[in-house]
Amino acid sequence: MQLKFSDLVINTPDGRRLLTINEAVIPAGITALTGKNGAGKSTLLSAIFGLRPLAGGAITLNGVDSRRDRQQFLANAVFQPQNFAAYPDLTGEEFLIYFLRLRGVPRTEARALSGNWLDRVGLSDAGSRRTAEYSQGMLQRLGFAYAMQSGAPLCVLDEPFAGVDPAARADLSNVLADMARDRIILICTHHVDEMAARGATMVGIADGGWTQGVAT
Amino acid sequence: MSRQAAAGLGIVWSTTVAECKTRFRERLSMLRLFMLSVLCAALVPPSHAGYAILHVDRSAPQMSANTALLAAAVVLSAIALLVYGLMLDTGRSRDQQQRLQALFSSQPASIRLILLGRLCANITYAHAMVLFAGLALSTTLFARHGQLPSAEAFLLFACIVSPAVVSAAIVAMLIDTWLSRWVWLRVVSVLSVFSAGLVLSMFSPVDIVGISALRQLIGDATSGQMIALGFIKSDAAAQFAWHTLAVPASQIIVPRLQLLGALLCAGSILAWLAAPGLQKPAPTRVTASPQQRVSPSAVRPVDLYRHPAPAPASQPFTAALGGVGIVLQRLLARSKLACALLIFACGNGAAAGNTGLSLTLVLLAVVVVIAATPAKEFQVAASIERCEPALAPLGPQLTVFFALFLPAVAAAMPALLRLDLQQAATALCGLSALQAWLIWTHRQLDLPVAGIAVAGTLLYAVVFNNPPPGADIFGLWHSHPQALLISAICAVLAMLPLLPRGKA
Repeated sequence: MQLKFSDLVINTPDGRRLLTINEAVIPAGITALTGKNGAGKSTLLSAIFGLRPLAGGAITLNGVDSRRDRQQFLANAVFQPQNFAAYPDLTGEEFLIYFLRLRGVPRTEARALSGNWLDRVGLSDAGSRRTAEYSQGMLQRLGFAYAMQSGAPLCVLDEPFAGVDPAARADLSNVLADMARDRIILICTHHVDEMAARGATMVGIADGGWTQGVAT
Repeated sequence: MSRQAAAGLGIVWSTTVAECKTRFRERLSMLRLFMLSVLCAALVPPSHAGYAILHVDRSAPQMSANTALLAAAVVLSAIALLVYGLMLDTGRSRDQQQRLQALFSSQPASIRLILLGRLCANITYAHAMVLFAGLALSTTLFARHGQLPSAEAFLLFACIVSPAVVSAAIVAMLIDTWLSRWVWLRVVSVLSVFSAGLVLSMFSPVDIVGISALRQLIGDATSGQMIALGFIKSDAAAQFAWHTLAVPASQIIVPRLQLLGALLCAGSILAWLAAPGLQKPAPTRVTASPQQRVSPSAVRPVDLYRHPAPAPASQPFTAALGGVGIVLQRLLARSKLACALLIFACGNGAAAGNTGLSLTLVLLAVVVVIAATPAKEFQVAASIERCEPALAPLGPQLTVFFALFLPAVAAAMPALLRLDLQQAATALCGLSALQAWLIWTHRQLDLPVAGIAVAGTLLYAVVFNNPPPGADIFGLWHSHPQALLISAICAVLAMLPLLPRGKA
């Protein structure tokens, strides 16, 4: 199982070169992207899902191209965007069930899965409340549950711990390490120590390039 | 059913359910229902009203409950075509504002199935409104004429309004996915569809609004006469009486159902074709998350009412008045047209004009203000109340409901300007009683729904049904000592539970 970037070029909306990755292979496990603000971490994650155009190159997951076989690629990948948001008028549980159903999960199974994940991220009591009442930290935990419940082999998480309190962050990091055994977790975070402690491969994004195995 | 088909059906169904939940739970839903009930009351005018829905040679005929319901249905379907065409959408802008577009764009589910689900949700939502309108019309008919429409007429009512509602949902979907980048084009498109719908209904077999169906139902009684639909002042006595329908209902129902089926098929095909447009970014500004998004103008009132100590028990009433001030200030600042309407309404009242006209204008002002106010503004106002001890934790519904006081407050202004102190005192007592009731049920009993339901029913009954002078407890229509006495007693009784108990 591997995510591969080949001759990847990503530009800014005004056409300037933002990021160039000649060849990079991400295996199963946690891979943490680090770098300064504006280095292009979130842009890279968005580009994986086609939310930002590629100026060149290809992204493949186990040989499945993210552009040519988009549906198949998306069926095997899930994305938790930065500052996760949910429908304010749906409850946390309804939100999770809805997105599981969009992935073709049967209703009863979706209900069980969402309940299980709400429990794992510490939202079991808040699951029946509308997400409009959630704090940003609770929304981030909901987003984490959203990403993990899908069971996709590739999980891309953009700042999943922003606004999450330290105790909950440690819990979520443990869950992440647990889930990373049989899938690729590509995470963009500033909590590098926490990730390094869970055996994450650190990747630095700076000066428009990709440096694998940077020190924390 | 194959597994793929079941999965596709699951996507459509779950999208429909989720969208319906979000639409029905919107904070403005209650207000929409309220406005719809006002419209329904207006569509069944009392016998002494100066207008009628059906006219023959400038005279308003006597109609049975069935005919009155169907006449109202045609006006309602015309309005639905216009209003739902502008109101319903496919959630593009909403998804972008709430930053959900990235979630949808990274789903493996077909965007076509999602759009189909959203279309189904719009149709379901609009039909729920139609059902509510049918019930409101029937209730008003019973209250005013002592007759309930038959089940057959109710079915005909649904068959007349349904195609218009489905057409509106389809038009709204197409406009939202293809034309929403240009707001003016959106408005022009809906107006064009509205005009085309009316013309088609009058002169072709594609009877979207139901005008031809109504003509057929009324029959030859109008031959050689002119039928006008709408609010035109009637100045002659009734000459005709329509008590029975000219043709059996089945003659109308079957073609209407065929039209409905054709529209649904067309809608599904168009959703299939339009779906790629849903993935393009909507032409709205992306802002912070709902939890983070608080505009400076919305925050300002907090400072005005900041209070370091917990609120004493006597404070809620003062806080409620302050709350009305905040809502007034915020809402009026949003629309100059609304201000102009309010000033005109007061001027009309001062010049001994029609109180009903003043009331209608003020209601229109509220509609304009509500239309120009994003739902988030109401939520911000509610969050201020939740977090600020000086303001009673009144709840979001109450904040929205304060907007409903504006018609009554402004409707009392003409009385004040005309120096009719008895009427003005009645209005003020009635309003105070209503506010105290809402605060009591919200803050102390924690029964917001019951409180709003009772207050809403009372407002509906008194404001829009022209009650006898002695029962006009808001002083909106008449000046009567008995009404003043009742509203004063109500005000005292409602305020008693809010008085301080001598214990913090």
